[in-house]
Amino acid sequence: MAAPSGRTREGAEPAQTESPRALIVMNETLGNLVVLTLQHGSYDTKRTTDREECRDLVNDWAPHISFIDLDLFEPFIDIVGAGLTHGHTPIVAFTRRRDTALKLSAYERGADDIIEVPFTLDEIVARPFALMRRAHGASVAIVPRIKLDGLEVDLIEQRVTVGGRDLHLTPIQQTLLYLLAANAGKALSREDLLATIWGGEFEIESNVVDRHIRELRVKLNDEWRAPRYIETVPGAGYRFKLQASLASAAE
Amino acid sequence: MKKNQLLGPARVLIVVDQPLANLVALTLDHGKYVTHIARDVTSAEAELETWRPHLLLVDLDADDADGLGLIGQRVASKRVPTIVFTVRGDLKTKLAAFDRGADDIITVPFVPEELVARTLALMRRSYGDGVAFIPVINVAGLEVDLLNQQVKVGKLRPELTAMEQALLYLLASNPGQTLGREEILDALWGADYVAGSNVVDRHVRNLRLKLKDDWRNPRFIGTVAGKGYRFLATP
Repeated sequence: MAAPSGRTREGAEPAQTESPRALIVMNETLGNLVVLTLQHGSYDTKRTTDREECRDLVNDWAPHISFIDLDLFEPFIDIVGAGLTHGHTPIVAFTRRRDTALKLSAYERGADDIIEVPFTLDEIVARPFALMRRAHGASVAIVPRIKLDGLEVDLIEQRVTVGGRDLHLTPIQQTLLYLLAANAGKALSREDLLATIWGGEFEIESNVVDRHIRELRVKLNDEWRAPRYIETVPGAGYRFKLQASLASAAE
Repeated sequence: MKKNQLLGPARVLIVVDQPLANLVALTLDHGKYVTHIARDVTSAEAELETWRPHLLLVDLDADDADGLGLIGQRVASKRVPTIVFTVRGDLKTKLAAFDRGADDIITVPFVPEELVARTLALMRRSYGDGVAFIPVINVAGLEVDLLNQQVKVGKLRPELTAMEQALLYLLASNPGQTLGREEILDALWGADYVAGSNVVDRHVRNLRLKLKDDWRNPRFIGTVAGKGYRFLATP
């Protein structure tokens, strides 16, 4: 891990073994998904949606890269960009809008890359990998396999296994699984899941969430009446069951 | 680093299989580009020498499997900015592409708007002022506005969704050719849509309604029974 260029403050340069620091400016549901996925790059993450806190984090914590939900927190581009005195912090912007003008202006104001909702998890790993190299000359170590309770996920081989059994998940199913697991213990409504995974303007069949949950449960061997992973919360949506070993992973 | 300015339209070499290549070339009408489509890696290498493109677009999933080798090629000792295309979810290919120096990646399926934004951003990064953005283009006699996502039909300007626009561009960029439902599904929706889904037919129906295209006597989109759809040549 090389230091961001232009950083001069003593003791602030990361050591060779230090994890890259990623600042996440997103609401909780999407932010948790990004935080969990960034485990595949061994990032240290902090999430905020507060301007003051964001300013402090940029100055004191000096993130190597930032992830900003452009649709909800657009002004934060300038707050993070103002950290330019510490060298360039690449910004990855997220948007649900198919709006060329918005994107071109985001690029102009300092966004280095844009991830469009709906996205798949590999985007959250691959694009920062390229930006960290371009901005810092740093090669982020990729961690293909992480554990989610009894589930082992291999993002490179696109494989999720339970006790050695390959579940053959599609990229969207894998994203759905991460999103639920990243927010373990919390019920996510259909609208939440739709907005986070598919985005507002992507046309989809109305029952797409239920259909994907059903398929995911089948693949997980999860009985809907007595689920081990995904519970139905009547009137509220779906909830990934909080499990001891998972609580720390999804923190 | 001194940025080389563009004098005329930027030359873009497209190393992508059909029918996607035609969709890419049509979509690039939204910028000041001239495009060539190379059939395979060998002819792409020849074009790099003789035509000296400013931008290279390479599909890593094309039949010709050696696309990775084209990334970061030099023309007159300058690296050619390169955007690669790959199917979604494939982290291994994406990391390999970035590792070899790809400047950006577009995940297939994509909508025209994303291709336009990423190419313009890269051209600006590579060539200073970059390429002029052309929001309104003529697609087979139809005036299409990318910024407002509208198409001009007589006196009406119906709004197109991103997917309807992508479908229109795909069909119109391959006039006279029958595209099968599966082919359209693969190009625009990708593998996550189950076979047998009627999503293509539904979108064709909506698009026809907006274009005031009568399916019995179409001006734009013809049905090829048992096969798929065909865009009729410009009237």
